[in-house]
Amino acid sequence: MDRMDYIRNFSIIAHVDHGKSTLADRLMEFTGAVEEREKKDQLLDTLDIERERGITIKLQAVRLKYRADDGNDYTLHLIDTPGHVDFGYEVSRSLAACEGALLLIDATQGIEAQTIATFWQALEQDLEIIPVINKIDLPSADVERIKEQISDVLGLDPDEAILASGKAGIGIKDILEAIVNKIPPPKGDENKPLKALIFDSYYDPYRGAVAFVRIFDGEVKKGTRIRLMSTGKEFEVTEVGAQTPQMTQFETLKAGDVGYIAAAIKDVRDIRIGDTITDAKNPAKEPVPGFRPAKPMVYAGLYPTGSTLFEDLRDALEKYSINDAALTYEMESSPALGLGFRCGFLGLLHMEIVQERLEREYDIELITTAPNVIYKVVTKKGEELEVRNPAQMPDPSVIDKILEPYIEASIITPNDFVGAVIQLVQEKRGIQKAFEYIDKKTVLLRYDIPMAEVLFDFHDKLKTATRGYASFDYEFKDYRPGELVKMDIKINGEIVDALSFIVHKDKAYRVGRNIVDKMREVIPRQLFEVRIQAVIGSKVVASARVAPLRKDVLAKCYGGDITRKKKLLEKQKKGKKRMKQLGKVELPQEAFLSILKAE
Amino acid sequence: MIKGIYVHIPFCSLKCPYCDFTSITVDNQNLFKEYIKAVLKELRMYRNWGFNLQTVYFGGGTPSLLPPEMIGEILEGIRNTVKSMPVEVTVEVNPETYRYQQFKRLRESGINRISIGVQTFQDRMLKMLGREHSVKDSLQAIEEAFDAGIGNISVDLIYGIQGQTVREIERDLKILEKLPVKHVSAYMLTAYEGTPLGQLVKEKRYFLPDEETVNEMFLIIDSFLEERGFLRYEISNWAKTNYQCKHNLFYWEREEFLGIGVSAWSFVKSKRFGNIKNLSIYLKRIKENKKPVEFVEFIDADEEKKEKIFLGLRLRKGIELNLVKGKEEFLKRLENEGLVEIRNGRVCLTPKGVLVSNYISAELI
Repeated sequence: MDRMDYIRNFSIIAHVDHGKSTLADRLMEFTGAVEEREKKDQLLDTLDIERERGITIKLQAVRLKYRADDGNDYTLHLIDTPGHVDFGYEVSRSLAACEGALLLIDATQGIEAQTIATFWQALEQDLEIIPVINKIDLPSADVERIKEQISDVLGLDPDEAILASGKAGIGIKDILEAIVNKIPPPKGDENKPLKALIFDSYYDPYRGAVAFVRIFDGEVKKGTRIRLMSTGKEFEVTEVGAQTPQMTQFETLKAGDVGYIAAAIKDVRDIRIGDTITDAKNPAKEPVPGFRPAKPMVYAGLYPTGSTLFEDLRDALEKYSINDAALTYEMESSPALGLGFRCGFLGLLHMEIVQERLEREYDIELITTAPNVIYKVVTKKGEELEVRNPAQMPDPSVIDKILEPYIEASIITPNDFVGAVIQLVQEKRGIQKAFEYIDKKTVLLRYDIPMAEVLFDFHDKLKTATRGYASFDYEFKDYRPGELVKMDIKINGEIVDALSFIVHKDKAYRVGRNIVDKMREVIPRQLFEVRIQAVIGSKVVASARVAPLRKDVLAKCYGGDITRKKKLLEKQKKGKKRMKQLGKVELPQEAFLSILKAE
Repeated sequence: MIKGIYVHIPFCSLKCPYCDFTSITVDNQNLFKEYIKAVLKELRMYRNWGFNLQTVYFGGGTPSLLPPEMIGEILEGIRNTVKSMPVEVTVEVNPETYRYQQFKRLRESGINRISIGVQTFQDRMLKMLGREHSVKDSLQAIEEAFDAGIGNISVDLIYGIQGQTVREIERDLKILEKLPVKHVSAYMLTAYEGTPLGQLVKEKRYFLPDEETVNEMFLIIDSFLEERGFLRYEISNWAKTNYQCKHNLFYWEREEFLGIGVSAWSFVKSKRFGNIKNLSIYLKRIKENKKPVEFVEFIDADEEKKEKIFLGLRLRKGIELNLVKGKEEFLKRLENEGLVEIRNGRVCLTPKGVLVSNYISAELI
């Protein structure tokens, strides 16, 4: 038999919290990839921040050795996939590297929107799907209902589903046997020119930017001169290998293999996810199809505050972005906030992650402005402009029309909450496209919604409206004209450009009122009065006032306890860390995000 | 050189509902004696440190719960150990405790200054504070202390009590004016977390007057006293010329001082250190011949600068401008709002600025 007959490449498709990482850990343990003593929970999630949030952001690939019941030794490549809507494209590239996938469904929750979206992607790529019903050991598990969904919603044979519990270690061997027996071995020709699909990358201080690849054809080893097919850039390979789960160097990677390539590449941006690596001396004719450069969907301003200087932030962004090719940033200046960066993110979660990691790992103090989508403005002269910052919206007198991005949203909800979901989506200017029952109790809704509307606490509201039962997935659809206006916020009579935002005309008054009230709540009293106004052009829509602070505590400083007094003052000072000075007024970070909560 | 010694007397006959200092309610002469011995033993552990003793301050708790002889005994012990004569020796006195005879004995033991916890001259307000004494007690104590030859009398006032009016403050000040008092400390009633008062305020069962009223009270106290020759030399302290409390000034001017007794604080050789707060553990440590210190903070150049700023701002004379370089814009705004005065290379708080001194200090440190 051929070498490739003993290779299996697979992913795990699952909704957040359905237990993917735990299952991956069990597979590694069972196959001996992980010694008990080095076991941390959820090995695949490398970064602390991911561990804290219980989600996976950077995907990686692990090589497992498994001796199957047929007596043969197999090499299994488990390719991890990120579990959030922001990273849909990365998921699609991971799937493209596989021949099969485990479709993991939580026996207590049932199928969720995201699972279906990824399932469809997997089907389009002709992957062999193995349904796995997880968490069957929990008292609230409802296996029969899940089987019904597998049959009705996914059109798969429910009898094929493996019953498992990652936590309790149930069904692990069945899963491994199914991987070997059901998922086809990779196809490819190691004698053809090198063709390797990049499905992930990261920056390693010793190896430089490292590409995780699936080799479709050919072979790559140390010394191979490689070419990135989208840019034509060439590098010489310094190391190839795979994660076992440690980074382990190998002689060579051949057709069918999954592993990593290092080539002393300084910039992680040179390794674009979805791009194809080939041999510069003997290049492939065509790349692996499906490459598209990562495109930010959401923009926000990041500004230094407290003791952080602009230079500190620039250095931090430079260092951070070598490990996050999806982040884009360009310098901008705001009259209110000074010098900072307009940053592009894949989505809101991505933005939060970037912000947190900058603060945590680079000790940066940040003010983040409210995120916005990219608007397209057609001027009366017929020019089309892309507006990434509401403050830069041209004067209404020169605007012919404003176009805003729409998404196609899929929402799965128990039918008890359908009314609440429809009401919410209508408030968000959604247009219904489909309404179908996926089982007796569960409805799948499809809506076109302006993307700006889901930036603003849509997820939270959906969860609240459905007591946490609904799930949500989306993809970008198109640009459509909208009745949009720019709203400015004035603080003590001055427009704060960083607080400007775009809002639908019909909602302008309500949003203006809410944002002003919200800001009054979050702006602490200070030595000077703070007047807040929401305005459209010169028209004041809403206003509020924060009365000045007149009194602190003048208490006895007891028996020379200066330390305690100092601690109190330092605490008070620290409370101001995330404040931004605007003229006389100090605004806390929350004020900049009030717009997110203003509806 | 250590210029001041603070002696903490942690005993009270009743714990005031707003107090968050270390004290226990006890009246046990044997325990008092044991404590005095411990305090003097503690002092001896420091006898080789450099002293240039000028002040001694007995604070509490309620030092006047001890008979004057015991206080005299401690002072005697301090003199013998340190081998110098302090020029200012203060004892905090509750109005209901000492009378003429006790004050006389204090005087004879070398105590030349008392600070009386009057708090308010309205019986109604004393009840609101949960105090044991009456206004009559206060007046009597002041008069008899003066008659006994203690010329340097300070009075503690508290303002911002539930139901207190600005008029009542004015009445207090008019009474105060006629008394032989050289020094006034006035504090805002503060509902600290963890105190009974803090709990009551949190549960909305005790209502502090609104901010504007409390501010007016401070401004009235300040202008009334200033007009009558009591100068506000520190954020909550007013004194006639030459009657400023030297001991407290050592705190604000960052002179070295040693605190002895349970929970007392010291500042010596660039270190701030605090004693154990629990009395029985304190006594045990002393018995074992160990210093009863449980907290030490080393004051480096950064900390020193911060301290100079926020401590200096408490004083009438304020701080040198070069301590707050880079904050000129902020100071300018404060000046425009009438919160600070900038003059001759120094900046100091105005009465209005005193009211937001924490805010200003937090910004400047």
